[in-house]
Amino acid sequence: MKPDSETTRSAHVLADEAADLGANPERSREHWRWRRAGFLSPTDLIVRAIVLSALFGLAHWAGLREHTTFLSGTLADPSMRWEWAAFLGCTYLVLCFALVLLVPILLLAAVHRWLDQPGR
Amino acid sequence: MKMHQRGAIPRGRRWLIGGAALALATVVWLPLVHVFFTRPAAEFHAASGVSPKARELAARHLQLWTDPALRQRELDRMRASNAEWDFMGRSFLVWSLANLGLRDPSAKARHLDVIDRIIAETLKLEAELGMHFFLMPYSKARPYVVQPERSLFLEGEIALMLASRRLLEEKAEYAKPLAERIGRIEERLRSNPLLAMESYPDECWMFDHALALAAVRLSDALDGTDHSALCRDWVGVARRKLIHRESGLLLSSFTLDGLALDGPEGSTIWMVAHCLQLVDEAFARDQYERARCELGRTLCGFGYACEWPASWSGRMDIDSGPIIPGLNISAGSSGMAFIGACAFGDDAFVRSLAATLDFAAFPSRQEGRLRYCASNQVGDAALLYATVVGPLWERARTLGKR
Repeated sequence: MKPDSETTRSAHVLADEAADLGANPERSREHWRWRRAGFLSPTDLIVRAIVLSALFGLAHWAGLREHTTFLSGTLADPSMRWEWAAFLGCTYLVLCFALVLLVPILLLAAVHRWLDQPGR
Repeated sequence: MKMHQRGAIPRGRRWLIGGAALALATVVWLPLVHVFFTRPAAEFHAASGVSPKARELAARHLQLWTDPALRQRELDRMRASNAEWDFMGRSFLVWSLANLGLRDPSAKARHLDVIDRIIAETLKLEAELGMHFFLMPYSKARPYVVQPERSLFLEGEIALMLASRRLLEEKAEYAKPLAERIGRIEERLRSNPLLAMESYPDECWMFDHALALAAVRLSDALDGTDHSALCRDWVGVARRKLIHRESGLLLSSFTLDGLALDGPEGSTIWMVAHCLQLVDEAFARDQYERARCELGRTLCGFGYACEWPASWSGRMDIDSGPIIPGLNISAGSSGMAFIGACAFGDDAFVRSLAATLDFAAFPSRQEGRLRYCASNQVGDAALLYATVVGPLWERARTLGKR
């Protein structure tokens, strides 16, 4: 359970945010369109593609690529536990496959949905 | 207005439309992905000269032999998993450099220097620390059946290293050690009814037999000896006793009595087929074509190989590497499939395998040097061998005809 002070602070932040958005109807609309984009809507698909790409970028930046050597039965760092190395390698593998296979699919589907929207 | 229209569509229908869009995108994208990774087969394995991939991989391996700290790090990583890989990394590199020297005579001197250093160090380690230094620990678990203990794994590969070096350029001081090893191999094979020799205690490996026979053929070409009867007899016995009936592929391992230990395996058969090209060309091609049919796969333009045919179920081990479930993709078999595909001129398979390699093995390039993050030194050395395979066998054939 959160401490009272933190709960109060969170409530204040949300109230401030709502007040700010309420004062600017155009910004409010954009905000909620992003936050509450319907599941599998063009925005939702694009956001998912961006999140996956960002996660891959993070994994790449963190050097997880080296740990894919577990596929050949070796460890990038022999002092590391095998399970941990395999987990890191698998994480990179899954994110890389997601970047190459899934992200373009999400983007293509987003384009298709956007073109298909009535009143575009 | 737009929001109102979107909101007017029932949620279920929106999800259905979204799902359909995803399905359509999948159908469009998946068959196209390979286009971004597929290159002409000649970029991997050239009929003559040195392919771009071979040049980059060779640069990385030559760096390992000129940077002791880097090399030690690679060896430590591999030996932590399997001491055999330290040895095989050396063997594949020597055979690769011999092929490279024949392909590019201007680089021959540099390659000879590295080859000689590898051979000298390997022989020294074998002499000082014994054959078990390059074997997995279970080699000491029980005594070898035939004494004094000898491993065909070391005898065959070292013989092939020595012969390859001499085929690139004669070195008189290697003639005697080569003849001695060939003599020991012949003697041990002839002393067993199956013409089999142990690599580990009462464990005979097809991979090692095929390599040893290739070494015998190279030695014949160099020294004018004739072991064609031994080769003919061995192929005869193998056809009768060492074939997996359902697939027609050679077994991977067996006891000295001929009891099958491992059935056909991709990590073995591709290299075996290549080595048998020097022993019995027709039998070798038959084995390659069966392996291609039983183990080779292409999915959406990406090639890979399984470790076992459908008619045999084996267990995942150090040779197969991790098996990706569902598709049964074996890293070990897929890597070795390059050697078979390049040796038998199967360009379509080379292209699709190379597409997978560039997609899923995570190439890392630095100043013209290439390595694959998902691989290790021995894996990269085997790939290097695949990129340059050909001239050594061709030279042996030419010399053998004289």
